[in-house]
Amino acid sequence: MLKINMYKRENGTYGVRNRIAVIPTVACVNHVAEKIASMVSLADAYTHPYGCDQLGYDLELSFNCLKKMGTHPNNGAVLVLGLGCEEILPEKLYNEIKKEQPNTELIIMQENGGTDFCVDLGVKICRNFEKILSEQERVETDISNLTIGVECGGSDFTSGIASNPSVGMFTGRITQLGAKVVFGETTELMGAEKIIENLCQNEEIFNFITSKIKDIEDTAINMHVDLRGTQPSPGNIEGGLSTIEEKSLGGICKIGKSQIVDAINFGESAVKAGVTFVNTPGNDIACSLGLSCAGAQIIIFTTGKGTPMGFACAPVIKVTANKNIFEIMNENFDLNLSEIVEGSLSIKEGGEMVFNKVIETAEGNETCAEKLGHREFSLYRVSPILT
Amino acid sequence: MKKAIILSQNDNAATLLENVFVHDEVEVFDSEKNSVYVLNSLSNINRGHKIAVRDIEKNSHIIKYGHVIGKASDFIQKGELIHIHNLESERGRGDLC
Repeated sequence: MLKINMYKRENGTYGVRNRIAVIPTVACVNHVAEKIASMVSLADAYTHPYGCDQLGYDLELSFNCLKKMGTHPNNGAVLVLGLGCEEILPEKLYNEIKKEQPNTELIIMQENGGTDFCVDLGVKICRNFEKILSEQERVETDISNLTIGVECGGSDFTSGIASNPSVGMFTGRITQLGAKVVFGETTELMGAEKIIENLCQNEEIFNFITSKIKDIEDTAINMHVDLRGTQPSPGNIEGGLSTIEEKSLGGICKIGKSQIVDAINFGESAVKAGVTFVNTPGNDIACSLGLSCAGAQIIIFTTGKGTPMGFACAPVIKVTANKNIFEIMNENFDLNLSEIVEGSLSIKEGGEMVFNKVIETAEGNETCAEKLGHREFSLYRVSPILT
Repeated sequence: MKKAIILSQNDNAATLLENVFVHDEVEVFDSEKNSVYVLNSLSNINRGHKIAVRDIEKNSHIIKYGHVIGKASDFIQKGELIHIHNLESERGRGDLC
């Protein structure tokens, strides 16, 4: 069995990083969260535009996603930062996270003080967390404790012929070792149903996935719009992709020949070893959130057009097989697989390169996005603003 | 000769691995690196874009990866560029409803 070194958490999960999450419960306190995180090297601000004017399932999903970020194994400590009058209740979020993460503290601005006061207080709390975290050490554990998210964005013709098939080889290898792989981007499965049907372990999983694809297709039909324009996007079209079907058939290569063993909703956790589908939008940051909520400690992100985005709670490994963009945005890429397109590297070798990069990232090597400070975050809103 | 690839034997659209100009000769390889077609390009086509490896009737399917990626909105001649001007998606078409 392959062993790797990770941080063990109280709830039985393992982290590949030991960070501090500063989680605002409402957009009103974003600036305070950002200031705190800017002064503490291990801290990340999970800023988002919501927390207020949310109802029903939309509110429940936002709350649940923030809770998942607080209890994510890559975080060793959490500061919940609330205003005091929002619908995402700061004290409730704090209590829910604290059950699984003992290093959790709470500031509510309307009870504690103004901007400068709360920044100072937050920095003090996070510096204390840093001391606690610096004493924690990685422990040797089995690779089956890894969950890897696979995602693509800014796709072009190289994605479907080189980088995604390499990730597909990786998916096959790491799931054979007992790890979990999660994928989403439901829109970008439209047209790949025949391949998915053959990969699904049973009909129930296939029906779940196709019903989610149908929801999106029905929405486009009800809105009387052609998906082409966003799917594929102008950049995808410029990169050689003509239709959503073509984009989807390239995207599904990230799964390779591995069986899909489960299918879950946005915000739920992947529980089975092997490949799990998560119902997420194709939108990159929303997909990263969905995959992280499912438990991904690392995200592999393939791109042909190039994108710098990282994610707050998970290192993002950027892979491209487009030689031009690798040269233009060099500092943003962890792996260059363009030799596959040139014919001098095999997809199997590409898959090995992805595998080795994942292992070294899991053991602490920073990805390009991390080195450059890309720790983006957003929530995924599912209903319009009513009030 | 310029290079293009098909990803499955049934594909009628090949992906160009280099920029191609009208009248350029294009050699199409399969994923096992076997040479399968030699075409005369009828269009200027950018690297990464698609070329028809045989004549494609209007309303018939365009195949890549061995699967349908849409249908031809016009007759497409062997050697012609295949892109959004002559390839229509059949999915998510609320504009047609």
